[in-house]
Amino acid sequence: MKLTLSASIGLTVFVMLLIVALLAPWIAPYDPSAINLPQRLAPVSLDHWLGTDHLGRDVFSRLVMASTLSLGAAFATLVLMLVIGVGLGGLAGYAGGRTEQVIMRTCDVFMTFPTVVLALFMVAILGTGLTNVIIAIAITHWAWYARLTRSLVLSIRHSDYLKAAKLSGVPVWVRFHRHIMPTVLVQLLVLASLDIGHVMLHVSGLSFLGLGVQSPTPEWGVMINDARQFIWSSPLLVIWPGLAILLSVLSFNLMGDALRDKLDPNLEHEG
Amino acid sequence: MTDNAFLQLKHVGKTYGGSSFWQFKAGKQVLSDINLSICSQQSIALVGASGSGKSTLCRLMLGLEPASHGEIYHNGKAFRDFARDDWQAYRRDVQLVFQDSIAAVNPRQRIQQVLCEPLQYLRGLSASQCVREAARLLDKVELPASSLEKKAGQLSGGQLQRICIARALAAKPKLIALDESLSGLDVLLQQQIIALLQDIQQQDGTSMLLVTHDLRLVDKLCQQVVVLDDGQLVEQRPAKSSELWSSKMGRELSEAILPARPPIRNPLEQSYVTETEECEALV
Amino acid sequence: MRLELHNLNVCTHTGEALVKNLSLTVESGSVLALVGGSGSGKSLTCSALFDVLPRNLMYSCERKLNGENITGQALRGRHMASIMQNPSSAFNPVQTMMHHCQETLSAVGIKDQSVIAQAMLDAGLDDWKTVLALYPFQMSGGMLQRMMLALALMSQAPILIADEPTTDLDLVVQRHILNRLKKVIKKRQLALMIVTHDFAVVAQLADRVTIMHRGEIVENTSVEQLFVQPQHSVSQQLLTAHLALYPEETHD
Repeated sequence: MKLTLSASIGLTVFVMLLIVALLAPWIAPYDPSAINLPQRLAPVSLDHWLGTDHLGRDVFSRLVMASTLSLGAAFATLVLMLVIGVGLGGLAGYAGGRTEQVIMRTCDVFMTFPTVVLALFMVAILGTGLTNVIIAIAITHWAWYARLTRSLVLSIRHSDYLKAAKLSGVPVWVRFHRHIMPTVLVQLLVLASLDIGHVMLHVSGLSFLGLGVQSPTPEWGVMINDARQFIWSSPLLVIWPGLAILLSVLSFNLMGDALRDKLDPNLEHEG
Repeated sequence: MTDNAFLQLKHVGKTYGGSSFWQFKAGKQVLSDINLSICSQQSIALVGASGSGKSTLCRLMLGLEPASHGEIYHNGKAFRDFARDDWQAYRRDVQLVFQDSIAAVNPRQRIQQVLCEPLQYLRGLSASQCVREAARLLDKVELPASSLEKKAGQLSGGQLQRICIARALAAKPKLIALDESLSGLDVLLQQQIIALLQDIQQQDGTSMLLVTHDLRLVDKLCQQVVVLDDGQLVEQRPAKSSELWSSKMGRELSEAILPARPPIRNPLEQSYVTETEECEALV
Repeated sequence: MRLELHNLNVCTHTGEALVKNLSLTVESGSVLALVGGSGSGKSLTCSALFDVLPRNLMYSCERKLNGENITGQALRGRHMASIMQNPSSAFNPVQTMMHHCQETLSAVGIKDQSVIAQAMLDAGLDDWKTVLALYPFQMSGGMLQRMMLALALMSQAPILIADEPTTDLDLVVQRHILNRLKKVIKKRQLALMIVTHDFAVVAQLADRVTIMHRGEIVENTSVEQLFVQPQHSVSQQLLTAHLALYPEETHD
């Protein structure tokens, strides 16, 4: 499979991040919550590859442990958004009529919620925590996927080959998952891979604001928030988690682009 | 015509648009008061100009869309009263070949899967039986068995047209509808497909419902002609009749047929064309 | 007015030849029909004339207008106008016909608006004032094709290239359009090259016929000669298939 340079870079970084996230407990040299005050704010050294934070905890270990949470939360949010969005959007597109109208108007309502405001609202009611952040982001973003799924389903629903399948006696659900879903899912996959960076930024952003994960749990957004007060004295403390977020989002975007380039022209050729 | 004719249409009408949940407006009436009886032994042509409603009528008869008024009966039972099993039985009796063969096949599917769908769902064959039967169907439409493994996107328009006919044959129907399937084909392919359809008519006793605007095709395949004009049935007559058309649309359609040969020209009026073109070797 | 195309060769990137060494001539007041089955390369020839082949194809040819070399780009619009196969996709769905007319006129640099009315009348659109205000979705296939003819006429181009202009239309409309084309060519002394696979159209409209098969010209003759005595086996095959549609022919 020939890959462009950007696609290769994206894929490599993504795979590395995945390995780090999955094997975090074994990669981290120190306990991320081990407080070591005499060593606080230590610079980069052979002992502490990225230095220590204001409580003497090893930044590298915290970064590595945080990757599990950050990446995991981003993926969990994406999965939740897709499940709700594709399910409702597919139903709207296929059923048509009043069902479609009701679902689409619901989408309109949910699209008007600003993410941060809704997250604040949920935190006020349910308390802080990563789960609530995930739910908040999913609730404000599923509507985009629902709309896209619906329009994709609509475009296929009127095609002749679907009518031909109906005439061949193929039952409704089989028609849906054999003829409609493959094309829809491919397009959605491309969009999702481009969107995951965006979701990741939301997760980290909300944690940065103090709405999600709370200190001392390591999470990139939280780490940036903690390091804010030391930005002039030890700027690296802010830069390391920021770089981690940057690398992740960049690799997702590059991969998303590559996926789209690979899949879309194929769709054109097959049509 | 008896009440238990194979397919019977009574006062069938179709209106598109019209009021919905959000708005109140007048709809567009595409078909009005169609009364027609079709026997399973006779092939029938449905002719009319574009916009006359013939394709809509074809779709209604196939059950792809519900009629707005009136009712369609299959062997005496109304579509409205059909349960799922009735629809399965109906699909075994009546099949359709679409106009655009490229759009009528899922480009991601292999031909084997395309043909196995009706074999599995309408005739209840097992997987291995499907494979054998699919090969037999391909043979019948004069395509090589190697096409089974190909994806629909890899075949040409003419080959896909044959695949669509094979798919329609899979259910062993009594009636095959062809919705302008012969329009837009180049003249050689059209000749081949017509010959294939004539073969099927003779060997399997399958009748055809040919929807077309080209009267030249009618007596090749059909015994009866029904003329539609602006959504209404205006004339019905035998296909090979030498009588004049009684309806305006019938007359228009027969006058629209261009003569087979060029008109005799007055040599003085002939345009002067020089012969400087290169000619390939004339065999 | 005489357009010559010499030695057209079209091939794919892999070197597969799609059109081989093709030459043809189109002259004022006469109609050349380019005929062939699917895949014979006739549409490619048209696109090559206009220099609008897809990027993945390579080609070379010589175009001469009245004996002088000219590029495809220079021919477009000013000297050569086109009528395409699918009228419903040839128009911008969000613009009225008037808009399309003005776009065409400004592209060839004609300021005189009166050509619009004359072109539309010549194309058979008698109520041209109403039509100018319409959007494509409000017009039928036949009307759109007539509009395409009108746009081609108002550009005042002396050469018309029609690529299967009636294939998607029903026979009634087809007859009207062909009659219109015939009248217009005689009246304005245009040169017409019509690409088609329908021999009935060829019989009615063409003066000369060029038959293509697999990218090559296999026969090039006058239309009367073709129907009386086709020389090449491909021509004979196509002609037989065409005549088989007509009942009275089978008695021959």
